[in-house]
Amino acid sequence: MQNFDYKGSAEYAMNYMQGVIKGLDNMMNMSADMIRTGELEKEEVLNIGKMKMYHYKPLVEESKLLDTPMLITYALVNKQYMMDLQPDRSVIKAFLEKGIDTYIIDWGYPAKEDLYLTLEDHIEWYMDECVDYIIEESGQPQITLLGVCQGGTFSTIYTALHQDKIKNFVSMVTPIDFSIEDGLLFKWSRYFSIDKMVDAYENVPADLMNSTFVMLKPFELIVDKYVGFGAYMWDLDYLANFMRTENWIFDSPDQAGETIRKFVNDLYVDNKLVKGEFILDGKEVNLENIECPLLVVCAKYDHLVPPSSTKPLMDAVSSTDKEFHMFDVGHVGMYISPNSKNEIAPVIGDWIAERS
Amino acid sequence: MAFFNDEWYKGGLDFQKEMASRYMDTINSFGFFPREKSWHDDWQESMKKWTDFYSETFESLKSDKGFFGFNPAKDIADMSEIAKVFDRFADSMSIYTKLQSLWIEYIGKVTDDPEDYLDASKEYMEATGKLVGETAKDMIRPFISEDIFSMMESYENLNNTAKDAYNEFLAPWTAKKDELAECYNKAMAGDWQSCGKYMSLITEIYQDTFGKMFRSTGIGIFKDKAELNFKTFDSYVNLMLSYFEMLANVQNILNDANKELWEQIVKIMEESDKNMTFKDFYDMWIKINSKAINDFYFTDEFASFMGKFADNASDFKIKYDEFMESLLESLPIPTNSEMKSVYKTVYDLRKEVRSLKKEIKGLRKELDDLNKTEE
Repeated sequence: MQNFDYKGSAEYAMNYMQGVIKGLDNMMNMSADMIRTGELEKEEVLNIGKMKMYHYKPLVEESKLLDTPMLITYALVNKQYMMDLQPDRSVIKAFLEKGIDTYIIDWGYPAKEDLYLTLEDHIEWYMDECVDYIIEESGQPQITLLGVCQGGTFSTIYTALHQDKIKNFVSMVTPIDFSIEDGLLFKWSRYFSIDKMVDAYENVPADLMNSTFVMLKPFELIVDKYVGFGAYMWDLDYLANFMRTENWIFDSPDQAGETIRKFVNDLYVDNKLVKGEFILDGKEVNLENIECPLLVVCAKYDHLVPPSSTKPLMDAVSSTDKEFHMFDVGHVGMYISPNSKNEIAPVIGDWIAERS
Repeated sequence: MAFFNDEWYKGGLDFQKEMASRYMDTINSFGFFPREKSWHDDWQESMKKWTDFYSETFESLKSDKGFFGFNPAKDIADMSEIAKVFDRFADSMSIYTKLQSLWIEYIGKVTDDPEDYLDASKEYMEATGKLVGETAKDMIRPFISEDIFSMMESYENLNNTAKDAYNEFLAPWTAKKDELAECYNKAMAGDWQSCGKYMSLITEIYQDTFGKMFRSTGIGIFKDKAELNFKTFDSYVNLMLSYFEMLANVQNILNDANKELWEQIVKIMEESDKNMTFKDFYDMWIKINSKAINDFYFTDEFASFMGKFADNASDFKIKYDEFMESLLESLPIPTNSEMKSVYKTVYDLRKEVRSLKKEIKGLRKELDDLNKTEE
């Protein structure tokens, strides 16, 4: 017959609550400085509408800078500073230390007046101007393009349309095949009308996007995550790291209506990219046009963009120099876990450095 | 264990009462009253509890807590990022500490009377079921934005158009009265399948009665506005019906998971010598509930509920905005449609400037090349 561990339960509860009390005390004494993000020095070098492009200050001597500069294209959902969230886990810092001359796009926060911005505008206007700027500034004929999540899809499309401007392409946790069954976002997207949603909301609100992401794993993300947080919040470093991540997670821009309409309809619903039916700005996007060296990186436990959606890019392109890496992390863990700077970023950095 | 918790009933019934009251207000304005008044009163009474749930759900969105910390008013008051994290932490702690209290009570009871563990397990199964029921509301909020909930206002001026619909109006409710009552009673007794059937029946009858009325053509001086008002209310009811339908299904799944949890606890008690702590219990609670909800989320059935709910939310917002704009037409302020037209013009102009800039850049380059050749 089972016995209950009365003493053990009581001790656990006491210890937990003591930790929480200490943690609350920590929280009350925290300052904004302690949870600052994106601390690497950078300069705004281009802006179009709400979009800005930043150039990071190199961390190596000029003579050690690699020839080919790199542009990072982040998703429209959430913000790009996740790549440099905290000093000890900054993926960008790892790239800079390798001598990679790094630029990044910040898409900004679309407002009502951005309702009519299209997917074409984001890729063929904003991205293209960023790439042209870097080419002109660096004097190099081509750049390395690194796309993250939805930004990876943008980068895939861009590379297929402008292969001549791209020397190397890195695709990180990027949705490519949208017909998969093991991702809830992919499944749910086929059951509601994005047309109605955009007609109703115009720009799709950030709070709606956030609640949708949270609902994908409600018990874990509404209850268990914070219960786990309570157990360690007495530790000031842990607390500060948690706060940075948490603030980043809920720092979401609204989604420009016409952009998300085409993204969901053409990709999530009709899966046109892998079918070779995707048209952008009147041009057919053929993934076989991608011939440059390709690195595809995915996260084994990614519930937002499962590896099954990312991996098909490997077979869809014409590149002969191509590599695939899967890491034992989740979608966000790719950038902010202890593995990100020590294991993941070096693999990517080395791959780029060898080809730059 | 009763399937519904009190909150669930109370909210839902009041919601239907609201629907009925609006209808009755309209009918009464003609100076006559339904022949089946007593039935109507019973029906109205029986629906009363249902609505508290609805109102409480939406009231909570306006409260300090909001939904999961998303509350613009509060966020402005508490600009600190730290305060927002604290809010979310406090919400989860509320569930955690309730669960912990229940567990402590339970082991206290079983320790006092070890022979009675089966009865105690049943009792606490009901208590944790209630807790899960509270959590269920938060499980189904995707695809709907906060501002929709702020639109839940009373609609006035339901006008004369209901007159012609009246004679047909009560028939579907009367015809299905027994079936409704049967499902309701079974659901009360813990038959969760009857709950889904009950919701389907309500939806079906609504479409044949109130739905028809609210979708009917407006007449009279305020014809256009009345018609918009009706349509808005119809879309609102559809939104609420799909919300309750989805909530009922999520709650069913979580109730089953809760049952499984306690069956496993009883089994462990009977078969294992291991000492069980609250942490063990909590880990089981999370694991079983997560698996249940995750499995359900991946079904076509849930995706379909979700799709309907999301589309109904969008429909409601579109109609509500249209109705509000119609009321604002006479005021000297720009409407959203007018502003959209301005945004579109600005967007087109920006594109044109970009195109012209590119053209100028190309021409300059050509000119430079030409000059170089001449040199």
